[in-house]
Amino acid sequence: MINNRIRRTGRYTFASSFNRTEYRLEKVKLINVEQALTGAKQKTMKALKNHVQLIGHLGADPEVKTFENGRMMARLSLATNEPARGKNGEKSIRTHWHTLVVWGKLAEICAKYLQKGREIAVEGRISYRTYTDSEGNSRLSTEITVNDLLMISGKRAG
Amino acid sequence: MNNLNNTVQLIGRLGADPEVRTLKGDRRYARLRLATSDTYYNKAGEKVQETQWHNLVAWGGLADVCANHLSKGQEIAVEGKLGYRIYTDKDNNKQFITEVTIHDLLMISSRKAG
Repeated sequence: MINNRIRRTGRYTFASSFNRTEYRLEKVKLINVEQALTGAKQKTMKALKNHVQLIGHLGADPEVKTFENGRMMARLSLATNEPARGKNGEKSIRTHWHTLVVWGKLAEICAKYLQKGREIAVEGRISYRTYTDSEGNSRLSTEITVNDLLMISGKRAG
Repeated sequence: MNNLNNTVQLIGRLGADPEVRTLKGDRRYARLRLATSDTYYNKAGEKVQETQWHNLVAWGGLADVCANHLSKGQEIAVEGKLGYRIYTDKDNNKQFITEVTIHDLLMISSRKAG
């Protein structure tokens, strides 16, 4: 659609004797906008299709790895608590442990500012990975690839 | 139960018909397999499509809705919470499973043709 519009404005500008460079500049600008729009759309679409939000405390210090190409990865272990009922109806708390994977700049932030006990909120997507354990069995592990991270409070006392 | 500290939203297609089971005390649940696809460009600039298969569990009234209205290929949107469970399979091995317990479901389109 944008391309059609360019062609139309193009004809119009030539007809009204605008100079050629100005037309080219306009076209480049429009193409950039179009690329930016499709990029943004792809990102939001991904977030819509597979979206996870978690709030909890870290169970350990971040495990940070740096790859040969300089890319950083941090692995975090996050606990979320939910109220539950036991078999006899007594109140209890159920804890789920999530594995989070953080890449790039955000991993550097994790390495610098996060430690065990810290409360964080994250936004990301679920991904599954098969790996082979020490006994040679193939297992499926679930990881949350983090897109956004928020530090909620200081380190929990105790 | 709706939980603010553990929320998952997924949109995708069902890979199989819902599997409905009844437990003691007339508690019904439905298990669903949902595929979400993801496309990205790798280093060589090639388009790569990656599909993630999620295990969904619906309890109670929602399980009945799943049983009555959902079938393989149906596109749905769900909201729920992420949980993990350990169970022992038929070969007596410990298995870890990740499940999304859903509490809200939306049917997006009718069944895919074919």
